[in-house]
Amino acid sequence: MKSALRWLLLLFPQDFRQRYSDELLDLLQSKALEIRTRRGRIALARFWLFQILDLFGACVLERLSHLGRPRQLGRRKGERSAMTIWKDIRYALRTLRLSPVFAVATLVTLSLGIGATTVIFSIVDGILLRPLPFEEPDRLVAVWHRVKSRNDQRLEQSLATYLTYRNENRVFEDFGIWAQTHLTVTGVGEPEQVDVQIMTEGVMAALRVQPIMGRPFTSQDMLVRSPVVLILSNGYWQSRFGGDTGVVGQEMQVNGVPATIIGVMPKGFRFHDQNPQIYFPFRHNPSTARMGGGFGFQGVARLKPGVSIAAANRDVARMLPLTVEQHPAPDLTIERLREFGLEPDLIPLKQDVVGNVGSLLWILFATVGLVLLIASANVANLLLARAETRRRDVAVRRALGASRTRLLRQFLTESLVLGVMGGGAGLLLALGGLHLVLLLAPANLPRANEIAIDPMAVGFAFGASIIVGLAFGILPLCSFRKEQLGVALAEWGRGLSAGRRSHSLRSLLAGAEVTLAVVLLIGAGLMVRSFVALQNVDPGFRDPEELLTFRLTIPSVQTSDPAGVVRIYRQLLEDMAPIPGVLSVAATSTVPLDQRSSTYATYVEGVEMTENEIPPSRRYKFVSGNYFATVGNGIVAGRSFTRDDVDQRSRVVIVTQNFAREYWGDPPSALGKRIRNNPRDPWREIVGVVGDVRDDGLSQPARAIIFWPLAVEHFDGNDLFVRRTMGFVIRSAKPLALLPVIRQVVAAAYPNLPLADVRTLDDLVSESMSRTSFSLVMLAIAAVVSVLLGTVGIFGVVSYLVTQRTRELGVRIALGAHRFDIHLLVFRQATLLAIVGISAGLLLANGLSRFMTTLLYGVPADDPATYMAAAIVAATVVIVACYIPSRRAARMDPVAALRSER
Amino acid sequence: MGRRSASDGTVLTLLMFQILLALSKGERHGYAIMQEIEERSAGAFGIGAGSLYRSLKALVDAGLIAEGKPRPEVHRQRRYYRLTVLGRKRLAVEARLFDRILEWAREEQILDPTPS
Repeated sequence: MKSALRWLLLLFPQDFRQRYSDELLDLLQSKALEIRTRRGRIALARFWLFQILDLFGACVLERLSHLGRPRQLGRRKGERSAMTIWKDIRYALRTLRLSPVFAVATLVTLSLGIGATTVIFSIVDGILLRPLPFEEPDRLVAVWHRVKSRNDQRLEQSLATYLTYRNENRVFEDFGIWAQTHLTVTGVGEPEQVDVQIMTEGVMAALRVQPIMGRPFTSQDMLVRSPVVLILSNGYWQSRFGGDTGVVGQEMQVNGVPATIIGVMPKGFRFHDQNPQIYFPFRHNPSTARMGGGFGFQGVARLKPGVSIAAANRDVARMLPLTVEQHPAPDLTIERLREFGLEPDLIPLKQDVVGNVGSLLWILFATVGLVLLIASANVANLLLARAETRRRDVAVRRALGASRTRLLRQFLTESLVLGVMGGGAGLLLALGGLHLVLLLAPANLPRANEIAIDPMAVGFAFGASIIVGLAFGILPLCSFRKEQLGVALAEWGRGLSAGRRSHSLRSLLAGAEVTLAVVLLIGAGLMVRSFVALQNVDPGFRDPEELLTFRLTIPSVQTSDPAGVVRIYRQLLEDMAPIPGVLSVAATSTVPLDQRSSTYATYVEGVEMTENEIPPSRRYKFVSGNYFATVGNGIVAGRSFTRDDVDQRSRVVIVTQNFAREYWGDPPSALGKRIRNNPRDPWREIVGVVGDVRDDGLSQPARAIIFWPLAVEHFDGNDLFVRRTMGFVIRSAKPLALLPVIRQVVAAAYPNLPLADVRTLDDLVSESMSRTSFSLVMLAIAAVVSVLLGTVGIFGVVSYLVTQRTRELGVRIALGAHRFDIHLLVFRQATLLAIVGISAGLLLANGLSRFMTTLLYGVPADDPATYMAAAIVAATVVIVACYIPSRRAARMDPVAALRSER
Repeated sequence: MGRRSASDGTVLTLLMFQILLALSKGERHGYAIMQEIEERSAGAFGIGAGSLYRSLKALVDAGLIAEGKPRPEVHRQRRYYRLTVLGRKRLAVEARLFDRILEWAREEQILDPTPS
């Protein structure tokens, strides 16, 4: 670092440099040490980027100010030194113009490498490095629980825990809970279902965000007796109200109830990647809070200054028993809570938002880093070749009195100019490339709206180009050793093979390129295998592209009676079935893969439980009779639901195969067995077993699911239980073409019911595979680029070797060597390079690929077939790259070869 | 600030003003100046080393600060700087100007009247 900085300082005028460079370097080192020990390596990287950018800025400004006062006595020497740098730059540009092929090849290679790295860096920076866009984000935490008795499963907040934590805590400045839901808006234009974030007043307070207009929520707004109020998001305010500044105080119909608009949030406010149209108060009655149920709210808090997460965890642990005292439930005691193993689990809010994309991003960053390395190796090779041809030029200049340092500086300037130009072009590429990558990126990429080519990314691009420029500028210089400068002159015209040292350096570079290309090929290969494995997974439904899905919510103003809700669903199913083109239609509480399912504790008859034990939670879905036929999930044993099951409220359920196997060994044995979700509910008989469903995503293991009829009597304390939000699945050869007709049919029956989340099941499938397909595309691009660059690199090296040996090969041919012998001779050199490069690549990949485990599906990180395939591809590349120069050598006219200068 | 041309013609940037402030209590070296400014601004004002020394040079050239005696026994590479009489006067002039600007900002309710 220090020498690179010293070189950077050369850009400053000499007087400045002499006076301050030692001091400046000393300061930077002390500061860097302090930052590394106090704030870690990421902060250190930011520090250096910022400092390097600043040095550049300062040097330009300092030079400009010099121009402002040109004639200062006693500064002649400094001025002259300043002039030489500009002269070097001009000279570098001129020589580059003289060899346009070299210049273009270098610039394209570099700009691709730097551009790709910058794109991924800006994504890594936007998601992982940059703090959340709130005041003092380090003090923000997500408040979770975890359940010791259930494998540390995560549990959210409930009304009871919220009230106790809010009132009794000693560590939070503000604490609030929130949840994501949908509400139906009528009375402003078309009826529509909007995304809503329900929150208590503490959420915005903790984030320290205020509406730009109107007022934030207060604790009064949360009480069920208070008038209904809401806050608009900026986007919804613009689209639905045209940015009307008089909107505060107006009324809207929400789920059929009038609500007053009290504020508008600022533009760009987004919390937890939710993008709701409306913020709604969490209206509750504190006296109804009971500990032990109703978990489903996420908690967010701002810690008081100086409070650590560990201390906050201790405080919440202290409050947990209080929740039982303050909000007692009939059969819940503190002992039972303790046995259940409920513990607080606070994590930094940023970690909660970013989730698990970290590994994916670091892998991508490492991948493009490798591409950049290969690109640099190629450029270094090109420069080495050029340095060879310029040996004599250098020798002459040396003989004419150019100092060694002067020559070194000139070469370095040249490579730096190349680096900076490549960086500039790379930055332009990155601007376009980022959009492309974000289009490909998984839809659920967190903080995606915060990603941009910002000053940090620009700084990164330039930092990278300087470092790369310096690195490959220094390499060729290694081949110019002191004594060689003289030797080169003496060798003039003698045709000896020049510079063994540079020769082995170039082979080393080409070998390194092979190594890195093998690593990237293996990465891409593993992703391809995962992708194929995912394609072959049986998801528990057939032909998802034929399945249209959407959701409807029946507001209580439409009908307050559960039986009425059932009648509406029945009516809708009957209206939609006869539409021409509809093959089949069914209702389900949650569509496959939509991540909206709820789980319930499930008792199985005959399974012994200790007195206070709570059985494991299972996922429940409530479906209409022909659901399984519609989605194409086969009945493994027993029967499907019938219309009578729904109408006569039969006490029956259908379970997935894995549930049946878990308890009874095989699917048929499950038939006739009984389950329930509450000790006070009647038992329900298992009448059918269906195939497993990959409900959490194709790459996730299938969860056990229990299917219930659409309407259930005596369920969890309800006389008649029916979901007010229901998903619909419609099978048709052209599902999207049907959509207008379906909308008409629904609107004709119930004008105020909007369709929400309309999409084909195929969209949900692609979304669930997006992480894999995104990594696949990125790694495949990297692998292809690296193979291309590697081919060019090896081709260059072998061609060069052949040219070096022209005379020798000519002699051999003249003496009767067969064409095949010549091929053999050339290939023997390349084979060594290939074997060493490929073996090193396999070893390196074996070490690195285990970091990819989280991205892989159905293929181990050390899959031998993939490794073999990568090695074969790499070997083919080497052979192809050798073939052309080798053929040229074999077909050479021996007379011409002997006459040639070399 | 600083667009205003002072009697000696040097334009003060915000960083220069803070350097002068940091030196008002006595001699300091570059590193200490940087620390002081960063602490005072709670890290909100990031300082590049290049900018810092450029500013120091400009201030020395303008005669607002002077280099102190080197103290090789403490730290060989660090140079100490102190305010000159001219510098102290200039600092007072600038601070008064700042005060008036802040007063204005308060009137426009950009700042809280009672900082918390």
